[in-house]
Amino acid sequence: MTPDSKRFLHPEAIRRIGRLEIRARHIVEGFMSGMHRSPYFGQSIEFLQHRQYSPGDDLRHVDWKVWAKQDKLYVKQFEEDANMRTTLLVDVSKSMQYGSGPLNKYEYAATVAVSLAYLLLKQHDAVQCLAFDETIRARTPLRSSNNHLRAIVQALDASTPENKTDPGGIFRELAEQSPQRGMMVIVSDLLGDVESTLRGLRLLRQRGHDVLLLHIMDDDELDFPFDGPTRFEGLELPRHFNCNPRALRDGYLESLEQFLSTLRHGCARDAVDYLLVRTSDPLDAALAKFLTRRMAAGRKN
Amino acid sequence: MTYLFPTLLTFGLPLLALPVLIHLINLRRRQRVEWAAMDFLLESQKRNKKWVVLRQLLLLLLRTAAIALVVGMLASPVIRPAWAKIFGAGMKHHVLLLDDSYSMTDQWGETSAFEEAKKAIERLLSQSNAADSEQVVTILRFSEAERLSVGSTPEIYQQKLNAKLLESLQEDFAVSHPNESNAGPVDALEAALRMPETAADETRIAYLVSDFRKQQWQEETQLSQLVQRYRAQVSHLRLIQCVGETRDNLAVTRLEPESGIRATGVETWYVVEVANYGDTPANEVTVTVQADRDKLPAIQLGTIEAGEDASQRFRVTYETAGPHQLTASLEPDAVALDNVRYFAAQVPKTIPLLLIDSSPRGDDGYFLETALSPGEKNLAGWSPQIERASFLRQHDQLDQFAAIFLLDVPKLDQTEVDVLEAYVERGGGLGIFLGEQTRRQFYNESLYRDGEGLLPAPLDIPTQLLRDSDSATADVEVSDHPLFSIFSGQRNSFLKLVRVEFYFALLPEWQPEAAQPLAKLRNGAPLIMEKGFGEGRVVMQLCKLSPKSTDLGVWSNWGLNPMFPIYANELAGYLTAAKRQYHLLTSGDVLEVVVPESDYQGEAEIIAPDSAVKPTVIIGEANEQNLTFKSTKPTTSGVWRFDLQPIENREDVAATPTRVIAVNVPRGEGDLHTLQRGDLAELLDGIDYEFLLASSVAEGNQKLAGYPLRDLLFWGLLATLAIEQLVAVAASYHGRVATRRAIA
Repeated sequence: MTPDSKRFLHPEAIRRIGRLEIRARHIVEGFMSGMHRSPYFGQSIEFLQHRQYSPGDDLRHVDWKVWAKQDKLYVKQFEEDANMRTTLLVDVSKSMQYGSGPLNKYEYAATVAVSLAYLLLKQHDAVQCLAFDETIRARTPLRSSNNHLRAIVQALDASTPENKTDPGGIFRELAEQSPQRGMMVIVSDLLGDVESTLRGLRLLRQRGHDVLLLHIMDDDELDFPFDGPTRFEGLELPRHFNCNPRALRDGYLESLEQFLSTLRHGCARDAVDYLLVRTSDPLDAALAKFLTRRMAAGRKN
Repeated sequence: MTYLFPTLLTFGLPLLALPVLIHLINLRRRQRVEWAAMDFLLESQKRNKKWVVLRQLLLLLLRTAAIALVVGMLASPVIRPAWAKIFGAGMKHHVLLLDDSYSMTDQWGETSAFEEAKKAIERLLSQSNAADSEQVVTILRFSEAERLSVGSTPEIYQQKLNAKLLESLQEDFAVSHPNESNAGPVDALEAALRMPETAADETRIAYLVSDFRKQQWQEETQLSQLVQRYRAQVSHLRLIQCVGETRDNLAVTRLEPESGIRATGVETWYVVEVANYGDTPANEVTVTVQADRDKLPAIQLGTIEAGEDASQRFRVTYETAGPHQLTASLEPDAVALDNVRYFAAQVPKTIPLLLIDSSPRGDDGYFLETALSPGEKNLAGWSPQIERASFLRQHDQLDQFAAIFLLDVPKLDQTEVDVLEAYVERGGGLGIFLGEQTRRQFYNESLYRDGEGLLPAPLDIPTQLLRDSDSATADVEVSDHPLFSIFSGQRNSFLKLVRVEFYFALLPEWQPEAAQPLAKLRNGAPLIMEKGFGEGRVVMQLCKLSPKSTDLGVWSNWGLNPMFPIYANELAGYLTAAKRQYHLLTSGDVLEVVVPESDYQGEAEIIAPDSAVKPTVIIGEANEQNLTFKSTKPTTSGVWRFDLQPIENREDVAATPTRVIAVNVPRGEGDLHTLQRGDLAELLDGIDYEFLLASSVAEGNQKLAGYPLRDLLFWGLLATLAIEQLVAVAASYHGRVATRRAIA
């Protein structure tokens, strides 16, 4: 692990979730080798070792050359295939800079993204990472090599939350640019036009992508615990106003609830996996919750 | 509408700007937050703006109103009702009957009943002074009520109530303390009733400011009638209770010689008594005793149950003649004044006794003199002087003798009888020993005189006490009279050795009334009898004193018994005790010292117990060859000293130029049980009065002045605060923030 990766890759969190495996809910191209027969049979096969034949083994894997020489049946064993394409979409808009705990939303989102990348790369899946706000600010190629993690970390580390966000636009753009189906993991606070965001998500789903949405919110944003006269200054909007936050709390929470409700319903309608994560939630717990839900969904299917 | 404390408005009204000021300060102190989710916040503000502003304005209004109500409440506005005739027209006369007896020294914390009374009066008059009408004040202290005769008035009588009077009263109260008397409400009410009747345009309001001690109010049966009579004279009657609860209190109630002062070098037995006036037992009660400047061993009285008292004897021996004093004191408690008791007396070098001896060979005188004054050292402190009966005619010299003994005197002439009776009546002691010379006709006619004279009982003929050889019963049986208390226990075995052969029987038709037999013979006939006469005492022995043989034979061997000298000393002590050689005065009493005019000059100095008080020079009043010195001011407790000026050439009196007199606070005043509202209602049933606690007297007075708005404002304030809280809760300004997750 490089010094750069330490910022976003927490060994403790990785250790706890290391035993879990990523499973896509839908079968996409090159997915689930080892568990299911791949539609692209014979691609990316690397020989690992021989094993004595036992009844029930696939006869296609019998090494007939060895049988011819030694008159014994051996089957050839191969390393697992790396054929899942995962794109990690991390929001680097200015609103992600907000944080009341040890990690702000961006740091939390980047950590989640890097942790997932580590897991995926470990099982030799191809991972690509995109940092976006209004446009795509950084992009890493789709690779499955172990040292690709470093490129992802560097890409996220180099990105600084500065501008407004437009998730809807980015999702539409991505849908157009990615003809191959894969898994899209979006890590964002989604503060923007909710309808536009949902339209973008729907487009991704229509293109056959498996979409996972990790909605990162700070405790302050969800609980609004402010007290006393306060001047609120917009991080993305050039607006500010003074108020007694306690008087506006109920109204704020009502609006927020409405936003979250719209988002949840939209995701449910388009079969987008949605998970609201608080920045105060332990990272490993959030990841474990996410992966558990994915596994449960996989078994249903 | 007027305000009782209008100055508070000046200071209080600017405070109304406080909520606005706090709001403005808070605006400057607001925190800055860079916020991501502005959309939701803006939406909330857009939706709630009107309500938020409205609620905030309402809160501001309510908080300002709350401050206004507090200020208004403290300023105490009063509306003058049209019906409030009391203060509306005419002159108001406040008559304050102030209890200044020493139970008002009842102390708790930093205050006392009297302090509470003074504060209550000050508050009451300050508030009354705020009224527009003309008002006058009379203050009658309980202690001065007794000496107020008809027509005389108290020190503060109908004085105009104004700032000057209030200032003067405050100065007076600052140095004013309760009196040491036990003056009760009876004298005060009687004095108040003697005041001129209410004038046509006068409204008289009477206040009885006291601790309302239960003992005093329940014992004085005429009190409720007096209150009723007084109530009829005044427009309003207010009873102001200065004490909230009863506190425990111990008091030294007695300190005096058990049987008179003895001479120098002779033990004098004293009795100290402590009363527990409290409601709980007092444990390990210790009395500290000091004789002159010497501290004596402390006296342990153990536990004294509630409402009980305990006493103990102790002895003191004075080595020198002259003035001596004794002080008994307890640990401090609620009432300090009754924790100390004083005793003072002139201790004589010897106590002169007169023995009128008519026995044929002077035997009786010899035996009695030997018993009272054995040897030259005069250890018993008596100096007996044996004289013939004619000595009694020198009546001017009789008063120097503490007691007179008649020893087998056959008869006296009428002058001698008169002198003797006058002597005993003044407090002298007379001992009569009968014998073969005694003429019973004279004794019965002149000395007994059908019970009017000195003799305790009429005499019959001398009678022989028949002897029963088998009987083991002693001839003499003594009672538990103090005269024989020394014979109690094992020591009375000597009494069994007393043999009585002859005695004077009493006339059979006589019925014992005033006279008491102190000792009886085996057959039940009295042997020693006592009779009180005037302030003095008479003790008669119905048997001859001398054990020597007479024409009749030997009367008794009593004079030879080892117990006889002891009995003779006890008898002398008992008889001399009757003629007290000390004063028992209570606070307020007039001190009086009478000395022969021939021995002293006419000027003396009185020195008060309080060293801060300057000595007073007084001139003695010459009266029948005596000089009488009297104190001119009311006395306080302690030992007072009279410094006399002996005439230079009179060496015999020059040794005692000082007289000491002890003054003590009256007993019983330390019982702090008080009457509260319910008790007074029962006692004064049917009388229209108002009961107030001293602490709440101001409220009672406000009602007199008009309709007070303070209560109304108070309730208004409570309501405002309650509404403010409700609005604040509704506006989400209450409750802890961020303790719960708003969204899971």
